[in-house]
Amino acid sequence: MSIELYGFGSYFNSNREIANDIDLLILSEDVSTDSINFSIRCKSYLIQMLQSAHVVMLSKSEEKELDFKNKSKAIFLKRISPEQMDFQLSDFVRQLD
Amino acid sequence: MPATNDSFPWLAHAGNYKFFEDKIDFHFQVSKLENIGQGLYEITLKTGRVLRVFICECYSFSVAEYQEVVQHLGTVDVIIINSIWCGYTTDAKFHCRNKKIGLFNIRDFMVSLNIPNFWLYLDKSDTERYTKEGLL
Repeated sequence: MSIELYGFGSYFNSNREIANDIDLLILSEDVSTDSINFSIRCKSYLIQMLQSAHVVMLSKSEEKELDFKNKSKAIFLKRISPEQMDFQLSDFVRQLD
Repeated sequence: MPATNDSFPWLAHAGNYKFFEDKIDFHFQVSKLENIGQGLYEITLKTGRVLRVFICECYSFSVAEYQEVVQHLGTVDVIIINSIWCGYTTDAKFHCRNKKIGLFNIRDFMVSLNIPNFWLYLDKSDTERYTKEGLL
């Protein structure tokens, strides 16, 4: 079980210097309890580390229904696994600085 | 994206839900409305049943966001997506229905209060769409 992290919005698609928010999409494999709880853990971590982060959580089937990645021009950033969540997310946040 | 307020509890920017409160106050099936705060209301129906109702403006309310609501607020009976810019996924709708929780926009919630199994209410277009998709 892992999630995929995507970026969208002005921070990733146009000018990050003037972007007010960091828009992120957490994409889970499915809507199983483990997947959902892991998505929520990742969201909590990101919001704690990045106060300007706005995080959308969707499963792959929900994303497909909304065509969210396409409509928001989301960019794949990173795959996050439960075993390495702290390291992978802190590394991601460091790269944004 | 036209999201309104991206972090739980996804409150309206104005911080109130006057439209919702006004509509509920005049609903034939409602005897009392109490604002608990943070988007949470208790609605007492004329049957005596009390519904815990969470109203929010979340761009695309998903199963994960439902779970986030439960983790923050405990059990709720109804979740209302308040803005025309916002909505919910089909998975979230049926995830809630299976738990006897209503996930609605305001209009559908108002209608749903007229039937005992309110969480099952669907308007005509949703009924047609979900039937076509093999979900009903």
